[in-house]
Amino acid sequence: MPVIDIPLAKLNKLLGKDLTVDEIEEYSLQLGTKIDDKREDSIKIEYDPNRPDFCSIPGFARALKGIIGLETGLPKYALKGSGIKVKVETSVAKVRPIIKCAVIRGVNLDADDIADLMHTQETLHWVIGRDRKKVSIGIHDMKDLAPPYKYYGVKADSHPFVPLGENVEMTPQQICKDHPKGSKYAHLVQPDGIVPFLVDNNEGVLSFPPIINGILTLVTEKTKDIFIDATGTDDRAVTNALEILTSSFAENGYQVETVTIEMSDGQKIATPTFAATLKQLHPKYVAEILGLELTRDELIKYLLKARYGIDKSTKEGKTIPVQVPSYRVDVLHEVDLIEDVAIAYGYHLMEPEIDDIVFYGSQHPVFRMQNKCREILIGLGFIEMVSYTLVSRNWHYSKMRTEGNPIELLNPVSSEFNIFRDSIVPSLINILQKNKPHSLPQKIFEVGDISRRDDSLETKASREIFLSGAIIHPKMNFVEIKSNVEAILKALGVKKYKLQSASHPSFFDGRCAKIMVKGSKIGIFGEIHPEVLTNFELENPVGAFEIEVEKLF
Amino acid sequence: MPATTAVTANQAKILKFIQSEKEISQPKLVETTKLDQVVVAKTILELSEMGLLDSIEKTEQEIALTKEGKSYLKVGLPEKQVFVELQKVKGKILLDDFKEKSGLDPLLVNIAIGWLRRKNWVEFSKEGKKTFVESKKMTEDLDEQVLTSIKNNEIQKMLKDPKVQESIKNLSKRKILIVNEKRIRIAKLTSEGQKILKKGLKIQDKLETTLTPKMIITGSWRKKKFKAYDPTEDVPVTYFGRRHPIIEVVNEMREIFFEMGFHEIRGPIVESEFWNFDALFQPQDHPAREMHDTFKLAQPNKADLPPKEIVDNVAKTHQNGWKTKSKGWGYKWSLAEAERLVLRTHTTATTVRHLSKAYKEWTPPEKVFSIDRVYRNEAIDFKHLAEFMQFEGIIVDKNVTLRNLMGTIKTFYGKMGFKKIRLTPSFYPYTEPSMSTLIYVDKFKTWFEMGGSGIFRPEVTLPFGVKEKVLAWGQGLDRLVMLKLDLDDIREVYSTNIDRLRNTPIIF
Repeated sequence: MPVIDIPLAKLNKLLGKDLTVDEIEEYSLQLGTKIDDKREDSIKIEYDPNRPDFCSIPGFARALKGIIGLETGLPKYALKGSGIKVKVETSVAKVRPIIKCAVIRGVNLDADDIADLMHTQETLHWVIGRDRKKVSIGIHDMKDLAPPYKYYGVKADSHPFVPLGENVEMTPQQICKDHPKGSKYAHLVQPDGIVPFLVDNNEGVLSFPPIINGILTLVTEKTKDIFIDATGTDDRAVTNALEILTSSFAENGYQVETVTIEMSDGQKIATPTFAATLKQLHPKYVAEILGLELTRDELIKYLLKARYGIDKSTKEGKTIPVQVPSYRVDVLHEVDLIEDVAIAYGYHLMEPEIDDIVFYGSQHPVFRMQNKCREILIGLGFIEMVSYTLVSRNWHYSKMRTEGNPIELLNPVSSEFNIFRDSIVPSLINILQKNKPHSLPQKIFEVGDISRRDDSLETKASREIFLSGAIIHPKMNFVEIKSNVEAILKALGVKKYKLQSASHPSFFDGRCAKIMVKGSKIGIFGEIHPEVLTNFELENPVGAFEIEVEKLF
Repeated sequence: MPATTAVTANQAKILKFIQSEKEISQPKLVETTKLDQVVVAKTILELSEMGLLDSIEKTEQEIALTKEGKSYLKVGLPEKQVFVELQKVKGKILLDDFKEKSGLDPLLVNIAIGWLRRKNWVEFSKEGKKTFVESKKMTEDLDEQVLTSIKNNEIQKMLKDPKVQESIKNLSKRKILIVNEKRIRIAKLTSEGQKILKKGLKIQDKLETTLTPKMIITGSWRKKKFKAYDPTEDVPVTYFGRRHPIIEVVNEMREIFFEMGFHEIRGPIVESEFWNFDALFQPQDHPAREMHDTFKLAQPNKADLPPKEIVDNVAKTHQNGWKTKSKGWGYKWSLAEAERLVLRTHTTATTVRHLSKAYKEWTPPEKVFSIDRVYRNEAIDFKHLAEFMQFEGIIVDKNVTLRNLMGTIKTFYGKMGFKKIRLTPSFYPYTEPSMSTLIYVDKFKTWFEMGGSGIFRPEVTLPFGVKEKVLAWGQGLDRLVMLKLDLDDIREVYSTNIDRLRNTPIIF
């Protein structure tokens, strides 16, 4: 989850209040963010990724102002035209087609502010940009730039420039190979083909998005005017990132100016817009979801606290016309407004209530059966094991002297867990090995999941419950394991079964039997093969059984 | 201990013997009573516990003759042998001449000379460089008495005499005898013991150890006395069969769900991305769907999907909101992504499968839950597991609200034993409004984030024709188990350590 580090002084200045860390913690909880860490003079807030507008200190302060009641309603940000134009050429259409830009005037940034800005930028890259894929942002000092700017595609092995972090000219291709940012993000461009490029009227390089900016526009503490570019592959993501970032500057009191984007087909748009979208809120729907009977005025009060606006130009009707600010990119549906009404009302003030639906509870037959099996095995003095269903192909098959065609992971976390088990006995033998230091006899069982490939099923894999057990001690033999198995079968109510000699690579020859019910095999038991014991470094005989219990019911 | 106490036959035998001796060592008792050593030791212990004997550990000298010592016993010590030969000579004789004429081993003569001088049995005189020797009188020889006493087992009585000790020391140096220090138990009558003996012993009947079937059938047990067991004595350990603690917690939670009127459901572990993600309105580029979060399958790798109409509803909802009045995510939805097989990352996959059967297999209102295994691509450490248990409950009804969800959660966690609960706003891609459950744990004096909850988004329910509200809540079980069992490593929740399981009490 994204985290933002907020110095108390900076936040209080934005709030125009003198809140303590504890007060901020309480308001943060009410807002739905969590405290990652708090110190005397700063607080670290963890927020959910649906609220990327919390990625800057002003953005978080804006929401806090609403919940505290210091400032409510739709934020009003002045927007002017900058007169700057970015021409988009067709050459970029196939590589990174979308660009939206903005200008911020008269900034005054110290080193901390620049660090915060970079953090905000990186959070947007991650949360909205999916690590720069859908959108990436460039922030530039404008003082040496001459408009109009040009966004176009160039051959990656041409157009050398000095990127940030270097002092020699490099082509985009060289950057992809040798620059740390280049090697990290090269997969987002075509280092052997056409790459996106943003330049000014003198061919001075602003940016090679989404990789790196040119040294020409490095932002420093002396920077007065900022140019922002947001480029990407997803129009909505690019808009969202730009609106969030620029509205954060506006919230901080800076003048934001629009940039004209001129498409290759001559179409022109001005960005950012700070344009609120209108959504209708149905008071009845609010009551249905929240269980709160709120008057229209109360609803409006809470909407304003949540920093929404109310459109007063439309006539009062059954619904409330809600203006959703452009930085609230998480609002997809009316329910999103309703949650904000609840948050503004205060979750902690809502009275919990029990529903009046009367039902009797009931068990799923498989879980019920598993519990019955547990009772039987506990009665026989066995200890239950709950082991991982993901196992190692090595010990599950090779050490057990078997082979198989299991459910196989594409991205296992390690070779210890690379397949889904199709038998529980190997897991139990593995557990006995781990318990070698402990006193004997040991009697363990598991009644759990296995899975087998089955193309007739919707997800091509079965989910089956096996009941398996193992006994280890110096005098363990076939007689003891058979005696246990027969007790289990009796308890399970299996009256008619046949035991037949069987051969299985994991069991010792002549000391293995299968359990047959109505002509089909439902289980196997016997003494584990000495070679298997040696593979698991066991030094005492082991008896084991496995019953496919679901087949019995 | 009352003086009338009856004693066993063995106890009486030993008491009587000690009476005549006042104090006696354990080996001596073994020798004289002809009882087994273990029996004697046990009886002494019993008697000292009864207050009749004092049992004291003492160090005793055990003295034995060496092979050399034994031979001297027959022929006399070297100094005696030499003295006898010397007596045959009249007057003094040149030592060298004596050595030659006596017929004794010159080595033996050498050994004897020092002792003869020390014992003052002979007189040595020097003329120039020549040494003469003349027998005097043989005095009583303690050394010889010691050897004889050892042979006759009478030495222990003499040990208090310092002269005897001096002799033993010398003989030991001369390798004629060997002294071993031995710890030995000495039994001594207490005044209580003397009293009881004076009164005369009352001998108990022989005690039976085993109550045999024969005794029960014939009733002969009535005439017998049985040995009482000492409850403080160690016995072999019995191990109890048990459920795994995590299963105990699972069953406890299932009971709570049943009490609250919930029906239990179960679904596939190998699941399609459609049910695990798409049906829950999680966009296909959502980070949770990436390889580093979700286990994908190499084999098999493609699932069958539900009927086209259902899939289309979901696809359109992602793309533009379909009929849900949502904006949707605004991207091109891919069928191939939805068909991919994964290990389910949450039980919500099973919940939404159940939801999709509304008006076919069930009609609202509905209350169901599941507690089952889920998988995340995590490196395993003290905080993370790749597979673990999760629970989830849902209520489907037209008239339920967020306040009902709050009431349900407070009831549920209250039944789990958590009284201080706080619900805060939160976010999940498939619920809105969403909540986090914070639980106050007295022991740690802090709030723990337990689980999540919320009302399913219309983008989740409407594609399956569910217009009712779906209240949902759930969480991983490990944190609950860690609190219940006081664990600080998540791996211990699924412990397969048999020693730990043998020593962890059943959860009450």
